[in-house]
Amino acid sequence: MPYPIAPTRRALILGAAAAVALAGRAAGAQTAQAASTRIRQVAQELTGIVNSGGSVAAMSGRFEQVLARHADMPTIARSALGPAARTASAAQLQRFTTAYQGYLARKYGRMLFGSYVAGEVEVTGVSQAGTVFSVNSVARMRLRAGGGETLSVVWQVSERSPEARFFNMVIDGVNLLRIEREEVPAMLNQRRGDIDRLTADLAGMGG
Amino acid sequence: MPRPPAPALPAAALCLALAGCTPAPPGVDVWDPFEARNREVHAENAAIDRMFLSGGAGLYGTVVPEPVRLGISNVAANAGAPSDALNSLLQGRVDRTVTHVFRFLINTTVGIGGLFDAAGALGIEARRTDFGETLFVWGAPEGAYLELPILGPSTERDAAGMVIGILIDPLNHISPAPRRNRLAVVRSGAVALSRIGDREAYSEAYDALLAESPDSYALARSIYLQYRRFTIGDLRDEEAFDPFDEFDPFEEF
Repeated sequence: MPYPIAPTRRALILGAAAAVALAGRAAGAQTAQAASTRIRQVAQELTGIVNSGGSVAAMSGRFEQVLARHADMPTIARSALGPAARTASAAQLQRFTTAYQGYLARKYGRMLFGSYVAGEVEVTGVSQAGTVFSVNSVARMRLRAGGGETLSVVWQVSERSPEARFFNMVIDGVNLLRIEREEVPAMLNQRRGDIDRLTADLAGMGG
Repeated sequence: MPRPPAPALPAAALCLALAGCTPAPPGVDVWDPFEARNREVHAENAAIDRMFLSGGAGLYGTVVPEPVRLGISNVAANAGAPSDALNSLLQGRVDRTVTHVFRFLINTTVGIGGLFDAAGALGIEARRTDFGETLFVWGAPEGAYLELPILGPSTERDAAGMVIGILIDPLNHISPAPRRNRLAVVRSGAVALSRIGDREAYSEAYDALLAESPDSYALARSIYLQYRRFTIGDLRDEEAFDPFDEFDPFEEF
């Protein structure tokens, strides 16, 4: 046999890695209670922002702080990149994640605070499917153009996140992570797979 | 280049008669066999949108004061109430049918021809619907995705629903004819203006999402299908997607 030792070694290393991973998973196991507590906090902060009367840019800036504090940004960024994330270095991923967080806040901040001028977000319940907790909320919003509307907003938290932070928002059935998983690889493709170029470009996008 | 014949409306109108549309093959979530033609229409729609709406951004909202815009939207919605009632009935939703009938009676009288949502002020609210949803309730397949000229994203089932919905709309069957026609003109105007109002109200959302999108056609398709399925209750029992399922647990080591 050409490789009498290497496979065994590899198996040992993988076994050790798996043990660490499982230990980490157990330590990171999230609960419905923790997910729900987190999203109540997010709902309260978002309600404060939308009623603040600030400019769209100022509100988007505060929205970025909400993402930084309460979203599982490394997971969102990696998932949005798709397979390309595997070839990136840790430092590249970290730079991308930071730029992407700002881009998401500006893009969805403009979408939300450009359309709505007041409102409230209220958590109504939590359910679990597989490893995902869905914290349901209703957003009763007042449009800048006049009139109001009620949206369903579902916040998803993975049992396997290191902390009970959300990785997805589903607004009236529209799954934002799913959209990002279509958009980001297409943007990356336009830049011939160059993550650093995308990271640089994201700084000027979404506003 | 000669353009291939538009498959959209004739195909959609035939859809119900043939009771099949172009059903998606099993396991296909976004079924878009007319993609090439749809993309042409999308480019035309985007150009029209730029010319008439984004160009005069906020013109309607600036010129027409909010109470008037609200009144116009109310007239458009009230004119849709008989159709909402009929479709709710066809869907077997008797309580919603009754609510739509009450709303129509109250808003047409107390609400002065629908200018005011008096029923809404009394807390009588009802979800709007259409014949496309009725077809879904009856079990018709969604069919292929379509982007219609001017009207935008749709599906074969929704496009067929729109055509048949107009044909069976009770307001299109009142007599005498001159009165029916006057009503149709006022209603079309109110519906068109309220659409322009909606486009303006959501212009920031449109621009934020679509303007920098690498593929605004695919994005509009994705958002339409997800939102429409959510609205009509077409819940596809997919397991909730967990991004951690995709990550290699060893790559960090």
